[in-house]
Amino acid sequence: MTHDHDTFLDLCAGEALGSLDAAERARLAELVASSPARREELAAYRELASTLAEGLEPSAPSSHVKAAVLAAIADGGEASTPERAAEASREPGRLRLVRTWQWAAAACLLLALGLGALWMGARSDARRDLRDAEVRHSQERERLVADLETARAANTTLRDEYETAMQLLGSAQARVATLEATANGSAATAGRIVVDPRTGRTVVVLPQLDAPTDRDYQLWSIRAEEGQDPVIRSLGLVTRSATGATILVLDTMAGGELPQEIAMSLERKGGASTSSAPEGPVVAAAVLP
Amino acid sequence: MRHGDARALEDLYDRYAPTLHAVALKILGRRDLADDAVQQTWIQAWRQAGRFKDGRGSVLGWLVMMVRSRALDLRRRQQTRSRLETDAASEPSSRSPAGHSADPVDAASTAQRRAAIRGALEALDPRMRSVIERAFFGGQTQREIAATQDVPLGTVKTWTRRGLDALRGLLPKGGEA
Repeated sequence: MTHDHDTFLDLCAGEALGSLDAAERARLAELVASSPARREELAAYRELASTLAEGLEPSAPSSHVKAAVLAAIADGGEASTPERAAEASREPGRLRLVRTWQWAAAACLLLALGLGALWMGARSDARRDLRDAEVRHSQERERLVADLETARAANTTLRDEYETAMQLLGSAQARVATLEATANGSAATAGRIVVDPRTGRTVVVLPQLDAPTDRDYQLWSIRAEEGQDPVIRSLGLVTRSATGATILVLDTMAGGELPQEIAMSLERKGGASTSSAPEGPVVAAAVLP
Repeated sequence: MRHGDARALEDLYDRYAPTLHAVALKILGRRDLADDAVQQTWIQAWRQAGRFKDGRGSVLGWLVMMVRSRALDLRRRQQTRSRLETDAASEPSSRSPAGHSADPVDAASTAQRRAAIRGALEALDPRMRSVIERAFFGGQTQREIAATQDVPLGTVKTWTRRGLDALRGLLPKGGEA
């Protein structure tokens, strides 16, 4: 198979599927014009492409379609028969020439009108497409800016937490306590607490904690004066930081006093209904030095 | 039909209209528009019957190409119109050819052929099948397919021809499926 023939067959396949552009169609027409063998090859591809239709599930047209077709052909939709074609070809030359000119003039007029309408339509479509693209572009830009701001805020929070934790861990005054699992807890609820007694800033590290999806862990500050009831205050729910680890930076100072103990309870989703006492079991506790 | 016999058209309609409607429905996705395409196709076929030449392919092949062309024209017009107005509710579902009084043996043979063609399409390399379907039912040119699939134009041409050649090899010979 020559390169030319290979190209010809590519064109045939494309034409059979109706996927050639105008230049390719013209090239193909040129190639088949003088060769009955090539016309047959093209016809074979077309026939093959039409079998795609037979692979579809048949679908009945609405009942009015057949009636409309029959009415249309009865109402002047004349068939172009070979006899009529032959009759047309026997028309006197002058008459045929006049008709040809009439048709040519009408075709030119229609073509001009059509091109004008197409041009106007294309301009209108292009303007509309441009406006739509501008709106989409603007919406997309706003969304990206909002996403960027959210990411920046999260990044700032994470950096602040990290810096606070580093300062605290490096402080000579920092005190360390162990958050020990209670009988209701497990090794996963154990952790470590570092607290700066001057500021009350506290870092809670829970390396193995994995909260159940239907419950929340909650931290509590406990301070008891002799002869008085202990003052219990919620330090908030335990949430994972942006890094995915459970490292919390809390402010535990209240009224100039540090807590004596920090406890963690397992609460229903969203935490205890009051911020003054746990409702679920206490799973870990630490006595601050 | 070439001799202006309306009854011949009616016979051809009963035989091929469901296949033509399936093509139009596949392209247009709406039964009402598919009905329009089929109606236009049969009127065009009646008017141009004199141009059909034996030995240049089957009547069905000729009609399929005609309905595909009508359906793609309608779709282009519909897409232009739908930019200006809200689209009417669509009815994409297919309907079985009720009222089509096919001979049971004929119907079985048609179903067998349909299954064979589907099987052959399924057996094609998915990239080739995609190119064939995008071109034939989607009305995309090879350049458009190359652009949307992000592959070189030459590759699309190769897949098109190899796909059709492979399909030819996979189909039962002589339409006896």
